[in-house]
Amino acid sequence: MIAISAGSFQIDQIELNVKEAALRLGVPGEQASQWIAEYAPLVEKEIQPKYCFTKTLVRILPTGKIDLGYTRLESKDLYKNLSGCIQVYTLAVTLGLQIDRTIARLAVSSPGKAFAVDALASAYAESAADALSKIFREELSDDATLCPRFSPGYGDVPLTIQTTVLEALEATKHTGITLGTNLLMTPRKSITAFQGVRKL
Amino acid sequence: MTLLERIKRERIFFDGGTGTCLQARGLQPGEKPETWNLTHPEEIVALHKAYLEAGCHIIKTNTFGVNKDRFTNARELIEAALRNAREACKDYPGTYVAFDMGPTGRMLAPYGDLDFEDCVALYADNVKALTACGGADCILIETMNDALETKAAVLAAKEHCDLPIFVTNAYDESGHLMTGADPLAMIAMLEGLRVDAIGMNCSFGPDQMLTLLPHFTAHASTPIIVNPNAGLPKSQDGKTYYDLSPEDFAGKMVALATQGATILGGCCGTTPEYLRLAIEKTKDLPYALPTSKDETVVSSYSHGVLIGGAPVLIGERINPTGKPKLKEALRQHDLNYLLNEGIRQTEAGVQILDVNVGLPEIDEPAMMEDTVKALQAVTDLPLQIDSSSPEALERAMRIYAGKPMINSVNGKMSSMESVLPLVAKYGGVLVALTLDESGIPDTVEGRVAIAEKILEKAKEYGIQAKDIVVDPLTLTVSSDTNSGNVTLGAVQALTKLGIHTVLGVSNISFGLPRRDLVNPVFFAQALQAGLSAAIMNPFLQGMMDVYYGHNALHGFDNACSAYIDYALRLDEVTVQSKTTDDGTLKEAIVRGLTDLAETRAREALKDQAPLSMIETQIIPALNEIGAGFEAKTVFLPQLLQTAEAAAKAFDVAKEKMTTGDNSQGTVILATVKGDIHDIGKNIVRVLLESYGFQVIDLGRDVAPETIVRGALENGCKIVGLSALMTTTVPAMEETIALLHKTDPSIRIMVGGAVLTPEYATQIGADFYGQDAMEAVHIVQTFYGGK
Ligand code: B12
Repeated sequence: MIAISAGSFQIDQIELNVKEAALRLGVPGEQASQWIAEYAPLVEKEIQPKYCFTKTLVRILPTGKIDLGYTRLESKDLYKNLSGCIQVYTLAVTLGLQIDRTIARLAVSSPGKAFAVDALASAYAESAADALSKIFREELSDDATLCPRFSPGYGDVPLTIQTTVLEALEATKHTGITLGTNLLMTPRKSITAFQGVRKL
Repeated sequence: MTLLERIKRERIFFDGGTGTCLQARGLQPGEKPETWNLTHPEEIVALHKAYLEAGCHIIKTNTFGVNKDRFTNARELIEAALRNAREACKDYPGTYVAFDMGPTGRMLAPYGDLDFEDCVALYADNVKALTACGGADCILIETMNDALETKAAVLAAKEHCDLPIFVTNAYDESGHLMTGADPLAMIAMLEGLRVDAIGMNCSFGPDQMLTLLPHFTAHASTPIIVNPNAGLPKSQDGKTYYDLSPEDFAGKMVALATQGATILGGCCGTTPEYLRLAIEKTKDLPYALPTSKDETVVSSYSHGVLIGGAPVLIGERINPTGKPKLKEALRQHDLNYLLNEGIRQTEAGVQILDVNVGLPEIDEPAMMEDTVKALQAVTDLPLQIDSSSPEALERAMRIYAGKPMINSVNGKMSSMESVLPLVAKYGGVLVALTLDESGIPDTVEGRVAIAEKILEKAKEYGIQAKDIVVDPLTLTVSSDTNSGNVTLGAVQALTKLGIHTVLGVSNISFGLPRRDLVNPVFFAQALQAGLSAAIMNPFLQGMMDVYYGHNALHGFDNACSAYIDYALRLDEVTVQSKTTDDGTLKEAIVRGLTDLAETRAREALKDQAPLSMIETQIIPALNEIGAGFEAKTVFLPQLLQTAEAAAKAFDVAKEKMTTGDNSQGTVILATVKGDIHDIGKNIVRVLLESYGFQVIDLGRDVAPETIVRGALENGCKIVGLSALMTTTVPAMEETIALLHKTDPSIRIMVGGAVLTPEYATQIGADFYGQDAMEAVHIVQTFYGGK
């Protein structure tokens, strides 16, 4: 067992990443605000962002494996991402199941709205993870920086690590995130990631 | 004394949290607590004993996360866990073992990929292992955060043992489960399933549970369990701790006990010391069981609806009787149409949706199950499962995520004997029709007598009167002008007896013209007579006028606020449709304004033929946006909105097109695999139908095998395929090849903007049609007519 922190975000703690939103909507950056204005209120009403995370020591074993404290894995890409790190956050965030329901309902009654809400919700999930990183940054000592987030499934880190990560975080209990046999998460707007702490 | 007797006499205590304690005893990060049943049995026994020593009465087996998907040795773990628990209890008389089952960690379909019956089977495996290993004193289903998964676990327990079942759910700080249910919804569902004790555990600590407890004491009739964490988890120096001390915790337990919790205990972070203090401080507090509540409640995955207070509206639109479009949708298994009817009624303000999918030519039980599954994914309203087939009722009741309303049972012995056992097993509020072997009595007394007979019989199955709502039957006044009086009289008489009533109000005007004039009058009078719920059409303004008016006039609408909202909304709609005169139909479509497109289309059809409207307005609008999309001046979200507005305008056109007599021959149509562009294909369909052909529309994104099956099943020799994208032409080619191979006498016509006559020949098609009119000519030639 490891120490886990858990909590939830109020909507005003999350700042929508406009670039991400434009990307997900498939519109040029300068048109994004118009779509955000139209659909963000709908999305914000239907999300209940929850998170949990743990901070563990990270060690590179003589075998080259990465020891995260609760599991060991082999990955060149994660190794690169965590190089120089002595600690790592493992995090999970979700927007909750209600937004999945809303998207499913809109897909029936208004596919156009469903697309826009789906795209914006993805951007919000990313932004919720940003909000969590902000919490990590505030905890940092002056001589440390935070690495970019690195999610299971990126590079050579297999999705199978999801089972271990979510179990270690007791993510179902804290956030309601579950894993399917295809290793995809439900609620769909959920993110897991590693984020290293690098000493300067 | 058995555990069940004990919990009704005195306050007893569960043990505390296993995880935190095992950590202190050396459980490593990443190591699963359940494995210790086999690897460290002595530690598990010692921990159990520590709780018993502290005065706890019930210990939970260390089996929270065990299932055969997670542990290949699930069976041995369960056996060992039971052995350890019994070993510990041996020296402590009057203590009990609860077999612990937690969530699977998977999400049920459709949002996750766990099938409901697979979920039941996963829990059933544990229960079977439990009984094989000698059982326990009860099963505790705990920390559940989804209503339907909770139901799966309860059914597994009920179906494989006779042990008492206790259930506790994990509520978040908003007072809901992660997937939405509030306490009233859970209480309704679980008491319907006849669970023996209900409550909450884990979550946010005792303070939050104190705020939720009143919901339980207000609505629950069973003993109430409260097993909180030791406050909120905090972490320091890599260790988790909880922010309440044993003294604080015990103080909160005193408050919980005083306010009505009858079984207490702890969850994460509560060591034996917490429990010892809590037991000591609460032991002299008086004990009272929850009173038995006389509330009629149906529930969904999210909330409960009370019947018997303000009148309840039940949307009647998902019922094929007299609705040719819905019949067609059912025959084609077009769930989208049904779902849309559900969503529109939800938006129109009903509180429950009636679901009736009975058609002689379809597999009703399968359709009912599919429809209920799909509907509960897109609406949060409780459902009324409406069928005369007990099999259809059972299949839907099983997978339903709450306590449904069941329509119906009647006074015939055969009906009661087939429906009452279902309600006894799955729970539900049952609609009882006042008819029996000798028909429908034409007097008030006769109908009341049948109602009483059903209530009496239901008692034999343990079904309480509060779970029955009587439908004294609405018969049309067009065949007997006294029938309205009898029905209203029966509502009044039943109300006087304290029995809730429901009516399918629309029936009153069957056979009369302008039924929208009579129905609201009858509805108002029925409400006046005391009607508790009405199965009605929420799209008729007159009915909604009556509903809001009645509530405002009879104290059901605080400060008349619902009425005021309703009235203002009506005003807005009229103002809007008068003033937004900007733009033609084509512009409305280009701008993606669905509502405006609908209005404009209706206006246009006053002096334009539907086909000409399609050609001069809808198609040019799509072309304009399509060109913009190609030139990258228009982007996907806008394209989607335009497509939606076009589809709406097209629907309006379709309503106005007369369908022929269906005698000219049959045609199969489909948009090929991988392609969802179906506007063109739909136009082809409508035109063919208006020329008298019967069209079997297989939809869009259809696999080659499905198309072949469709052709064979219907003995149809002409198939039309549509494709709009270069990338889906290969799928078209594949479909053609498969069709030709299966039956060389089948002819295939193709169309869609991406094709040319040359291209069509190249992929083996027999005919190419540039537009919908050409499709008609091809089919006419095929059938040799003109
Ligand atoms: C509306 C539309 C959509 C809507 C579809 C809504 C729906 N339910 O159909 C939405 C927004 C969902 C959509 C999505 C996409 N679309 Co689009 N879409 C269009 C658009 C603008 C209009 C198509 C249309 O409905 N035309 C009107 C109808 C009436 O014409 P029609 O289908 O050709 O049908 C007539 C005849 O062809 C004929 N006919 C049709 N079928 C048949 C069958 C038989 C048997 C016969 C005899 C005759 C016949 O009769 C019809 C009536 O006269 C076109 C652009 C264009 N102008 O064609 C792009 C277009 C087809 N889409 C395109 C693309 C790329 C996409 C997307 C991939 C976009 C994306 N990036 O996600 C997705 C694809 C999704 C998928 N897997 O299918 C491209 C395809 C490029 C290509 N050649 O491969 C197009 C051409 C736009 C472009 N220029 O880039 N699209």
